Amino acid sequence: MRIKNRLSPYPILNDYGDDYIDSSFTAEYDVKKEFTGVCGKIVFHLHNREIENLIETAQAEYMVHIECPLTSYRCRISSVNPEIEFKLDSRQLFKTVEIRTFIVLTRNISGFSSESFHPDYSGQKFDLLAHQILAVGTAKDYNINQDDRDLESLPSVLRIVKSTNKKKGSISVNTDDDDYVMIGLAPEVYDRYAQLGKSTFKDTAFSLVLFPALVIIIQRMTANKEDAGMTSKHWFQVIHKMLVSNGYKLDAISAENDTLLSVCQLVFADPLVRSFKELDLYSERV
Amino acid sequence: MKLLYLDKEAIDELKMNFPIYKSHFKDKTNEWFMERFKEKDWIHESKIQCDEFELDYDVDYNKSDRKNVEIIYEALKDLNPVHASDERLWAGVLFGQLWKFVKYRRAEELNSGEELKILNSFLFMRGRKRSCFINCLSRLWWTGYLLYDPENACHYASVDLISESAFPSNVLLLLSSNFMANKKLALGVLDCISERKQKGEKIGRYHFTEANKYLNCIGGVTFLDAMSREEVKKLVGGRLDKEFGILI
Repeated sequence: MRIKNRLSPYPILNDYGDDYIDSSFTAEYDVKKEFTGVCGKIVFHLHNREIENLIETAQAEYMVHIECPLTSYRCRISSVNPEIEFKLDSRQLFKTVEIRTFIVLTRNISGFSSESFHPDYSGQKFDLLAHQILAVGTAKDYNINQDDRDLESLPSVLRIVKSTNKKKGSISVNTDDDDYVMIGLAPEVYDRYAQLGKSTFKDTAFSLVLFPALVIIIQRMTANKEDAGMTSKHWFQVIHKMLVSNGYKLDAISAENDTLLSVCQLVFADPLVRSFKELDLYSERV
Repeated sequence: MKLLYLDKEAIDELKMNFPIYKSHFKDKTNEWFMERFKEKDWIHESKIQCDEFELDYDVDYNKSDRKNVEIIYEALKDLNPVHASDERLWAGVLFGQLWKFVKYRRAEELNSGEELKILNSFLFMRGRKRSCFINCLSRLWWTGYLLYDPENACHYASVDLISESAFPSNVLLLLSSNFMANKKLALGVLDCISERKQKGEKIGRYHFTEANKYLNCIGGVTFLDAMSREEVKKLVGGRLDKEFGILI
């Protein structure tokens, strides 16, 4: 959403016009990339008594508009609290994410006035409609690192294969290859995975197979991080690079505490939540 | 099946050295291209899978475009928007799996011998976003993605409306406005236009243009994304009543 400095039929509080005096509305951003998502926290600072009153009486609210024009992604988050947190799925985002902040009316109001209107508006009152914008806050364009949106990213170093070795049970992880990790599935499991993993139960099949496999893979990586034979493998380097670019060092990941499990959940963007949502959707249908 | 994708190097090569390839765009099959691409290791299987599907080849493009939106979107519902806006994917599928479709849907352009028309049939020549709505295959998916209506038993009712005539230009006109990425806005506009059609009005591009123009204007002081589908329908309806008259 592009904000243009154009005239409006009523005063709007912003930092590019002078409709209000001795007032301000700004937003402080903390946005960062985390594996398959972009997380952020926005703290609003509002200095205008009349608009503050509207928020306190639930007639207006803080609004964040997030848009990625290239992927047609668009969402809004609103709150009457001056802090808003969000998490975005990077499969929906490419290049630039435009974040804009507003204060928006939630209902029609009549006779709105402010002592801080510019003297040109002095004494004037305005009847405004729900969804009209009262204030425009600080904007931010966040650039996405594109490493993980390649058509061959993490899945290209994880290969699911049919395994007939009954000793290994239904699932096994082979990290011996230089290029990719092989996740072996017993034939009947493999067939089910191939069938269900494509459509209705995509996320569930993903969680059941790839999630435990990744726990094992990262555990082996931490255990063998000094072993040149291991660290020179292509798949090791791809996963390691992904961890480092998201602020995680192998030294700090351990199965002794929650770090290993939380890293794996972050890498796959909370697979449990997505799986349960999927199962929930299915249970509603049957 | 796994969808194919074309290497960026191949795309750059086709754009930079078109004359070398020009005559082969008239070939009946994609054999020649596939051989070249394989020689250079330019075409690959992506990780994107879907069930086999067969597109519609009606002599009337208005009919086939409508049907194909549904076929493509249903087959590729899990495709994410980042991949769906990737030129390499659509180019790979068109050169590889759907050569027959591009020969059918872009017959006139491919026979014209004009570089831009030919390359436009396979590649993104007008920037990433706009090209998504121009490419003969990606525009079908994007139309489904943006206009699929989960609330209506007939999920593609809005697609019916824009594919009655001049589907390609309606798609470009309507969907390249950023706010159309919000389903409540897009479907609210189309609900309003659809109602006018049911009342007997002949719908043309001027209806879409006027609705877009008005929402753009209102968007200067109103937070459009907070509006419900019904509110959008009413708002646009008021404007179209003024512009084209109230229908009973």
